[in-house]
Amino acid sequence: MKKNTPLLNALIIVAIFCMMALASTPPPAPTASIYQGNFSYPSEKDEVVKNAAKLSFISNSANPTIVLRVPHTSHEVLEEDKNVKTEKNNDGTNNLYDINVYSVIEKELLKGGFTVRDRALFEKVLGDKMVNDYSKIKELTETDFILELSNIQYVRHPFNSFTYNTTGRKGVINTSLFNCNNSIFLYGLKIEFRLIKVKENDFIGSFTYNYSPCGDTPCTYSVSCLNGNCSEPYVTQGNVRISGIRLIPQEEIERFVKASTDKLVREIMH
Amino acid sequence: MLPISPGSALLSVNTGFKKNKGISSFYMRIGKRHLFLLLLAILCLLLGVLNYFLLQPDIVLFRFLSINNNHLLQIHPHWLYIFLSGYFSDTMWCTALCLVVLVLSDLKYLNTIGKLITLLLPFLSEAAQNFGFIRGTFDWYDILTYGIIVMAFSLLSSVFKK
Repeated sequence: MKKNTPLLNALIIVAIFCMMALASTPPPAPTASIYQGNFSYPSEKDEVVKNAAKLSFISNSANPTIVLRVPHTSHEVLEEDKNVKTEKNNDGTNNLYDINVYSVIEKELLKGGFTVRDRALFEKVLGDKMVNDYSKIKELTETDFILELSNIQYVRHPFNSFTYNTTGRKGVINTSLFNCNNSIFLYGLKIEFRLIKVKENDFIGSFTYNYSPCGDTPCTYSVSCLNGNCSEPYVTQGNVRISGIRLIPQEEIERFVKASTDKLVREIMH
Repeated sequence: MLPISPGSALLSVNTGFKKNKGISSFYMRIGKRHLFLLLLAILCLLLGVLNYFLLQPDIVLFRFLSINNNHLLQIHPHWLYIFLSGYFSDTMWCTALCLVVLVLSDLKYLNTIGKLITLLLPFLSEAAQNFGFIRGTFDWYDILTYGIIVMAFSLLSSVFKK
């Protein structure tokens, strides 16, 4: 028994100094709570302003001609000619112009009964300094309308709170409200068109369409909160955390552009 | 009654474990030199605690005791701050451990295996931090510091025996 005493003493010392070492450790870092937050925000109302009188001749015209003018025309058209834009963007940036927005719009115009002029050729005519009159453009290109895609952009919606569900006793689902100290953001989309009647050089319509991913049914995204500070809403795909503008998949952007153009065609034609 | 000279303590050491009857025996055998070294160990630990209080009051001990210090000491130059906040308390803790080992081994309360186990503790604690068994940051400089202290005390121990 006494032979073991020095070893016991050693263990006592080790225990005492271990306790000291543990007492000097930093406290456990607070962990963030993850909520499945429900978000709902209606998209802004679409805005359509048009000169119906100037559009009335369309009903008599069999196949009105139209050309799509795009922002930063020369650059974008040339880039698209190189077939750059047909590649889907997979680097996570979700650049709106990485989808083939123009092609989608033109396709819908075609479906709607328009004769769609080639953009590249049209831009060449516009680029010619000799052509300084819209009536000449009409003659040269035989185009009735210029549809200008003046803007397509993400719209930021701020939130200070969200609701989340918890399952209580007997499976009852309780909805609670979480108030964040900070603002968190979700994104929608906005697309704007301008319609110009070439012959008279008249601006005859403005069409603005909005999109919210959380329209009629609320969106559910993960939100991690620590001491009342909330992260951006996100979804996880494997190990990848997707948030911000990337929450709107490119397929969804295409669908929105398609639906907007479809509405636009109906507004022009009827 | 406490022995008044280190010689008397060593004399009692020579008598081995026959007189070891718990704490009273410990007091019988302890000398002034041992007492000084143990007080030095306590002082080291207190300095370490004070250092934590002034620079890193957010440790488990202070949380447990509900002690807050909202006025952290501002130290310049920066390297001194790094040393005091990152290494000083660890150094004091290791020094205190070595002092205790030195005294207890001198009083034959520790044998070679016991000393080895005890002196390995600083390195094991650092390894435990590295593998995430205890909270804290693994640091090679801590290992180096512990190595220097343990080596220094090994040398001191041989001098002490003479």
